[in-house]
Amino acid sequence: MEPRPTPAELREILNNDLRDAVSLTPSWTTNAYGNQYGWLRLPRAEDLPAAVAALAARKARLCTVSAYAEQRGDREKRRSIAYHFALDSVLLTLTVRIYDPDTLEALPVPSITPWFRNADWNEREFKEMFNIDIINHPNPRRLFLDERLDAGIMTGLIPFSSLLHSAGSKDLWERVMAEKAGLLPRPAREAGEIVEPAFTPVERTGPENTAAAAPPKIQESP
Amino acid sequence: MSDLLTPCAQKSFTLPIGPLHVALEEPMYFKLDLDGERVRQVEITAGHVHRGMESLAAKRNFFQNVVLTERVCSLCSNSHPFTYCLAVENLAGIAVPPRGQYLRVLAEEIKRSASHLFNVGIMAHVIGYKSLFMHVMQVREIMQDIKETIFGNRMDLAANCIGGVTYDLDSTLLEFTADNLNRVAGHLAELIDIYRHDPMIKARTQGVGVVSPKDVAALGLVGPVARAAGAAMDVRRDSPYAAYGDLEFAVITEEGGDVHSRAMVRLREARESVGIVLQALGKLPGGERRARLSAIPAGEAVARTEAPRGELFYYLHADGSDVPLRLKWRVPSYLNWDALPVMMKDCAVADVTLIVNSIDPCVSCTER
Repeated sequence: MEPRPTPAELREILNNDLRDAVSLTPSWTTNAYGNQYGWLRLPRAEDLPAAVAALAARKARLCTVSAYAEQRGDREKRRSIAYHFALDSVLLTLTVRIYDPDTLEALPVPSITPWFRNADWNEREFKEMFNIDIINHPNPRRLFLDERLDAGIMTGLIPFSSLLHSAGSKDLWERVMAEKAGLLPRPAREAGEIVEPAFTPVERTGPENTAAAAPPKIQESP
Repeated sequence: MSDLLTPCAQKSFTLPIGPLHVALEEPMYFKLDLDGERVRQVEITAGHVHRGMESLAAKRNFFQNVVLTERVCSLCSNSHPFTYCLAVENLAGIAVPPRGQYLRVLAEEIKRSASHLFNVGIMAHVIGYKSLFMHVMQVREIMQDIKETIFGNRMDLAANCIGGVTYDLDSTLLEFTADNLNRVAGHLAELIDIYRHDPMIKARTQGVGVVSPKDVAALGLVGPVARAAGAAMDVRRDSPYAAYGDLEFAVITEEGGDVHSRAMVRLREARESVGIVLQALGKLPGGERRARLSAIPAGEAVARTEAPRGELFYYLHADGSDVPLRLKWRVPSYLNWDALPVMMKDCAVADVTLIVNSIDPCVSCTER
């Protein structure tokens, strides 16, 4: 069995491959256990295929893809996507900005499924959650969300009342206001007209209350 | 010949399974295109238990997210807060004290062996071997008792916190845990022999739902599904975390890539987990269980662990406030679902539920 490359060797391999592919090298961080993490920001989404092709040629594995809004509360613009790869023991995150920095106009991102088949679900998920357009996705249907829900729901503002399905329309509010203005009869509760429905209390049918009605025990003959 | 007179074995059907079906523990919809009894194509539709948990995580502070992530799933409920805490610690540069690292390993491996026993038990149930199913679940019950005794809960352990662990073991608990693990080890040896050699299990599971090493690489498969096809990948060895770097254990692989191999990997890994916990108990260092916390700076971090179903990945992006800007996680089942169309290609309809169970799928984890 061939010896596994050391983290330092893997760093060097990734540095060289990405320098050749996109003329950039990642920065590196290390955690308390000595694991190595590479970070590279690509200035343009057009650079993504070249970087990804280099990683695919090196037999890196796509771990996952994380789309996010760069600023809290920004529901429309300034999206970025972080692509996370593993090469043996080291992880590399390639981040792509998918908006025009001058106009803040959203830009589409090329699909990486030609190099990494398992990007399929990841790309469909960020498309529906963040309303990001993907170029040349092989199967661009919804992954989790129903077609009736708007795309980009991850950063959408959903009022709490809508979340609880209690304010699907203005109907309830208009009814309350109409009652207040005397246009509709007041609810029966306020008019003191509550009539309890007739039902048999559960305890009345319990064994302790039905014993009297039970047939007498048959006495055994002596 | 009229269509009514055509034998079923020669007809083409579309067979829907799910989203709610007696053979599925969680909702997922499968559309199977059949030629007679053979599955030709599989289409999976997910999303029935999507809860928007990642959106919730971006509205809760770093401490509240420890509790939230523990509720992603029950079977790997320890792996989620564990990996989340690792991501926060990687970002803030927090070093967990050695005792905390060992106690984290202990909780994780107890959960792993219980999770694996559950899956192989369900496999026995699916193939109709009810007595074996009941026996495996009884063995698993010993692990459940250990969890309940140490943590007070059978599923959600609440063992992890940022910087370490919330629980500790005294000498009584150490002895109780070791005694019960030795009991489990004996049962596991017996179960491994049964699953390896029983003619009914072999007839029903060998050569069923096969993925090749090439499929593993192309689909990015992880965990026991990948290891059962010979791929020796395990985050605990490849990128050690917590106390795994100090402990001896083997990365379990099988060569068949089928349902039987996946069950064997899980059973052997359960035995390996018991060995890891016994080692951790023997080497448990003294001192603090958790580190002193520092402020969580703005920046990005990733962390990964080997959960029972495979590599669990967390990405954290913070903006300097006490609430994450983005918390994203990718569970092993997310990748392994995509293997089902490969595994089910030309299989018999009767094997569909067996193959689905063999990836140990978690819908709650996948959809979040």
